[in-house]
Amino acid sequence: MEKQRTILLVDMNAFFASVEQLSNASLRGKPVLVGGSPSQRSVVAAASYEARPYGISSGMSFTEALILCPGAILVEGNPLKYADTARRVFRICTDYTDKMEVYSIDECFLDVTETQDRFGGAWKIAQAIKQRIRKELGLTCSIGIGPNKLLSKLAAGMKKPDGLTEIKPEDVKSILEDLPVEKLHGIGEKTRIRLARMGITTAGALGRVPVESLRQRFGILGDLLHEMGNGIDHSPVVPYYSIPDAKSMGHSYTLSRNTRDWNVIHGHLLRLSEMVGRRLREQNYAGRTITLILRYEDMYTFVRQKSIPEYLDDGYAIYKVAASILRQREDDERSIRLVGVSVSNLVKGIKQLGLFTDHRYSTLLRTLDAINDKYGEFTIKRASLLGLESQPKTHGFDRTQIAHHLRPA
Amino acid sequence: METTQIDEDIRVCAAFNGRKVRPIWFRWRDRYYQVKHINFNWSSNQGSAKIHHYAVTDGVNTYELCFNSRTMEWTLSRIYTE
Repeated sequence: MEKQRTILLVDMNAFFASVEQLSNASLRGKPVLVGGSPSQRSVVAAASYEARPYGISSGMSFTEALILCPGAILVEGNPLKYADTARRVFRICTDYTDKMEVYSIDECFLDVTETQDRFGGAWKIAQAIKQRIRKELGLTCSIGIGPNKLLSKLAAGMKKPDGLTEIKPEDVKSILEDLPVEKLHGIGEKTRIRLARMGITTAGALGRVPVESLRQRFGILGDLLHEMGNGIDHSPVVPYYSIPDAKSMGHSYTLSRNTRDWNVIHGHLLRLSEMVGRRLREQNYAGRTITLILRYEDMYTFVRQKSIPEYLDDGYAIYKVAASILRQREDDERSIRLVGVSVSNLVKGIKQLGLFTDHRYSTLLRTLDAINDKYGEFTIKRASLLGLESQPKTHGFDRTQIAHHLRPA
Repeated sequence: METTQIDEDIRVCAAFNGRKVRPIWFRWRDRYYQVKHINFNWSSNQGSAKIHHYAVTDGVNTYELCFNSRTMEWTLSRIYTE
């Protein structure tokens, strides 16, 4: 007989804000908002538990958040600090199973089906992880235990902060019966509204709708919704060492003030392109579709792609393609708020070699990489990048992006 | 709360215990600061150098000290004041 799966979800409580409160005692017990630079242009990446009763949530602009809670303290986030702390959390988790999926910077799934007997059961593992995270890092987490990822995620959200909740297979039906459908992970606002139009507001009701009826309305998603309503989720825990290859790599930067100065915008675009090129080369990728992202002062976002025949991993070559798109936008009267560039259509292991490739240039790139590897990013950079405002951050607060450097081993 | 970026080299008295480093006091601009508590520590990389960061308090303010394990140099990175 197949063994019943046992999955844990470890969710760090108000992660970035808790790390900042731990680092700086004067922030403890106070409403703290972590985001980009503490100007009112930034958005909240994390709010401490003291800020949450005011209705502040992630993604809200600092301006909106300060209206709700004028006494909130704005803290500029430090992605490197959080990544290192997350790595330490994940390292603790891998002492209990090798099947750990890094779900985001502050969450991971653990499949303890095969290992739980060694540690006295899943509950004991969860207690040990909570205790070690508190003792070794001073942080708290909520852990959910369930027969699959969907239910462990649901369980983890039932008690926060510092919770430990288990959903046993025999309790699934009763728990789902009156559970608002949007509490199921994966059901967003749009799906909730569409389900509500069908008169479905609870998970229990969703589970009772014939799958054909859901298929008719939602296509292939119908099958998934039917399973979700019945607490079924077959998706595996994908261990951190078998994360699929990247589909794209990109960086973006919100300018400290909106501008129509094309020299400044081109400067940022070049620097972002160089950063993308560095990452591509570091992980042995090259790509041939370049995407330019511009966000204007009115929050309109322009996204345009250009595909080229050859695969690129050189920042300057990426910049030239992105700049050719940018030049077509220079007539626009609006100021620019954000610049971004990404490279997709990636292949691994193919170098940018052509009949007329300048091998001296390839050698130069390799040498520059070696120097920057040893002494730090942008130790040597193009002269045109001198004098630009502070280094752009990566999508540092994108919780869903599983950065290569978060892997614990 | 105010954060002031400093990035100045400092003298630090630290205890090395195995792989653990514990700053005890530091001298910055001719003044000694006793480390009463290490609030938090983490590490980052600067090129091939490992940088160990310590958020410490002297009982009044919080300071971020950085130890570069390649150059063996200490830096006062920033000060957080109320």
